[in-house]
This record gives sequence, structure tokens and C-alpha cells, in this order.
Amino acid sequence: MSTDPGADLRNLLHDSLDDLQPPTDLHRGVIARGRVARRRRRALTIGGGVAALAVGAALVVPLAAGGGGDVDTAVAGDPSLSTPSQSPSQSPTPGAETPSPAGPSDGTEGEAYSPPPGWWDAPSDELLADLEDLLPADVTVRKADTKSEGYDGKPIDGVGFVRATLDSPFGPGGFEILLYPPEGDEVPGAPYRSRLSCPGNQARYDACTVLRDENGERIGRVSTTTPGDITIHEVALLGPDGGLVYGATANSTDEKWGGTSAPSGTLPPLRAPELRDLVEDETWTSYQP
Amino acid sequence: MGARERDEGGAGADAMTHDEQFTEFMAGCSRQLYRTAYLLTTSPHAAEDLVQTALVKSYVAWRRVRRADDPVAYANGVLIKSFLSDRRRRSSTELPLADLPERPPSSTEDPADPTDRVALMTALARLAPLDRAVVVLRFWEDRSVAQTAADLHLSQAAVKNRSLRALRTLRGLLADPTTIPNGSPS
Repeated sequence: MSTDPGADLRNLLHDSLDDLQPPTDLHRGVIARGRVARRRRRALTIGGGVAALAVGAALVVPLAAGGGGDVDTAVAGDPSLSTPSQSPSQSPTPGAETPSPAGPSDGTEGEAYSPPPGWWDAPSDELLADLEDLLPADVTVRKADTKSEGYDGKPIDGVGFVRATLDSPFGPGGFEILLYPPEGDEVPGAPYRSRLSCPGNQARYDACTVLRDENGERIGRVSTTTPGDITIHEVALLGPDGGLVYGATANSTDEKWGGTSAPSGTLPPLRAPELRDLVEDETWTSYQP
Repeated sequence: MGARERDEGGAGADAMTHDEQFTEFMAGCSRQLYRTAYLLTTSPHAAEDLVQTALVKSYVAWRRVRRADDPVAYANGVLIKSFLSDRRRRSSTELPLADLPERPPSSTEDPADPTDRVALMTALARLAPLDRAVVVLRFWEDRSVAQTAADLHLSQAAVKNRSLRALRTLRGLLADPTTIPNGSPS
């Protein structure tokens, strides 16, 4: 018996990856993004006092915009509104046990982008209730996952996502919706541009349409992919304040969807236009943190 | 301020020195970072994103990275923590969704056995992200149980349990990839 219980896996890992080469354009944009992030960090460090005021304003404006308050009053409002006791960002959320976007202390903490609180922080249990309300009459939730995994491996209440198995006339299928906070300043260019273009961040697609607003600006993408025996519809749509709503459905109930996935129905539970209608519903972006 | 500007990449020639140093560093460590990221994310596109995120963070912290005993190990640590930070959303398949390794890469770009890699990545994708991180740290990076526990904020017992569970799952999946179970392993 081997003294190394993982020798076979260790060998397999190395045999499988030893010849793997990174993409030739892997470094593209890294230094440019690094410069932007560094400037932002400097501005936050050097202008600490100014930054504190800016944080106050940033908290006030969403309150005014989302709550129907007086913007003039809010912008010029009492800086005390930014005190921790009134700042949603200071309150622990169900997902707070999950590592923050900035990550654990790794020596770069404070340099990484930390998104502001927003509709993307909606509790997953609430999103599930929203989903049940918004689904077409002949589509129902069979089961759903609204939990994340904490550091200790135990489930914790999730925020900003729902994964579900849906029942429909086409058979059961998978569904998920994810709410993304705005990208940080360190990501240059238009927000979420890789997810709003064709192919963008997709390895491939069978159909892909960019959605634009009346000014011609990209605001979303609808795409369909057919890896193997399954069909996947995806919709990404920019929301208020720079966030993104992403929805996807497939005729597979596998955890991951790909060419090896087994079809669970003849078609996804939602057609692409139905998925688009669902993702475009304002319910997803209505949560007030 | 001269030294500070030089260290932090001020304008002009000093900035070029900083960027040149970092460019050289990237060239030297990218392959290792990419392979680790590939195992963690099981997706070439997500791996690329993860490496770029780790490199941007390393660029910002270049002074500290450069001073580290092993700058590549430092950047690798940033990469793993970035993965763990983002694991909930990534585990929800948004990005890997359409780019799980369904097809063997062409032999011209990849002389390794593509079947092995596809099977391995498909099996790894079935693990919970934290279990995958344990596998990568223990069996790819050869870290000890104690080191892995410290890096992942787990107890040593938890690392051992997760490691054994992951090994058992992977062996089962790799022995017969056609019986990959539905849902996350438990």
C-alpha cells in the first residue's frame, strides 16, 4: 500500500497539465488595470478625509434615488448619515461569512475592489419568492438552492442568486439567476462589456443578440448555446447603478451544464423570450439594502 | 519622494522600470498561475480571468510582492484567495456554464492527452469549490495538511476529511466518467 494516498491523483494532475500553456494574451490589460487600481488606491490613501466625505455622499445618493427622496437635500445632507449605524454596508449580511470580494487578508487587502451595497445584495430566499411569482403559469419550482458555503463548509444564507430546478411542459430543467454588483474602477472600459457582446466571454454560441438602448449603448445580451444534447438560454442585462442581472436556463438539471450534461427535458423550461422577460423584470433590482 | 516614486511606479523612466520588472515577473509565473487557476476553476476562460485578477492585485502590491521570499508563491496565494473570495458566484456556473471542457483541444496546441484533461476537469468541476481548493493545495502544490488548513481557514481535521472525500469522489468519477452524478458531491 502506498504511503501517499493521493499519489495517483498527484500524478494525474501533473500528467494532465504539464503541457498546458497559458493563452498568449493572458497579460493583456493587466498593467493598465493595475495602474488604474493603484491610482484609485493612492487617491483613497492620500485623500482619506475627502474619501470619507465621498463615502457619505455615496450612501446618501442611493437612499435618495431609491427611496424617492429629495436629491438636492440628500446630496447636501448631513454627513452623519454616513455613520456606521446608518450605513447598510456596515451591517453584517447573511453572506458575510463568505469571504468578501476583497478576500481574506493577503497583504493586498484594501487594494481590491469592494462593491457598495445595492440591490445585488438581495437575500436569495427573497429572490426565490420573486422567481415563483414571475414564472409563467405552466412553470413551477420543483426545488431550489439559496445557500452558500461558509468557510467551515456549513451552508449559510445566500445573497444575490437562486439556482433552481423547474418543472415545465418540456420537462424539468435547470435555472439560475445571479445579481452582480457594479464592476470596480480597475476594470477599464464599459461596464461588463465582455458579457454584453457576442461572443464576449462565451466560448461559443449558436445564437447571440446584443441588446441596446435607444442611444445605441449596449445594455444586454441574449444567447443560446447547444453543447452536446442540451440547450442553454442565457440573458445578461445591465441594471441600475452599474449592476448586472444574469439569468440562464437549460434542459438539464445537472449542477454544471456542458457537453456531458444529461438532458432532463426536451427543451429548457423557459424559452429565450420568456427568460428575457423574466430577467428584465424590475423585481430583481428592487431590493433596498 | 524619489525612492517612493520609483517603488510605486511613478511617471517616466521609473514607471518603466516598475512595469518592466512586473512584465518580467508575469512572464515567469504565468504558466504556473494559469495551471493552478485552471484546476481551481476547471474552465479556461474563468482561469484566465482569475489569473488576470491575481496579477492586477500583485501589480498594485508589487513592492510587497517583490520583497517576499518567493514572489511567485505570493502571487499564487493571491490567486487562491481571489478564487475563494469569488467562489460562490463562480460556483453558480455563470462563467463556466458554456465553457466546461467538452471537447478535447486540438493536438497542435496541446500535446498532453486531452482525454485525461477533459475527464479530470469534468470530475473536478463536480467537487465543491472548497474541496477543489483542498485538492489543488494538497495534491497539485504539495502543501502539507497544516499549511492547507491555514491557507483555507480550516481545521486540519476538516482538510483531511475534505481531502479524503474529494479523493474518493474523484476516483469514482474518473474510474467511470459516464456515471458522473447529478448535483454536488457530498
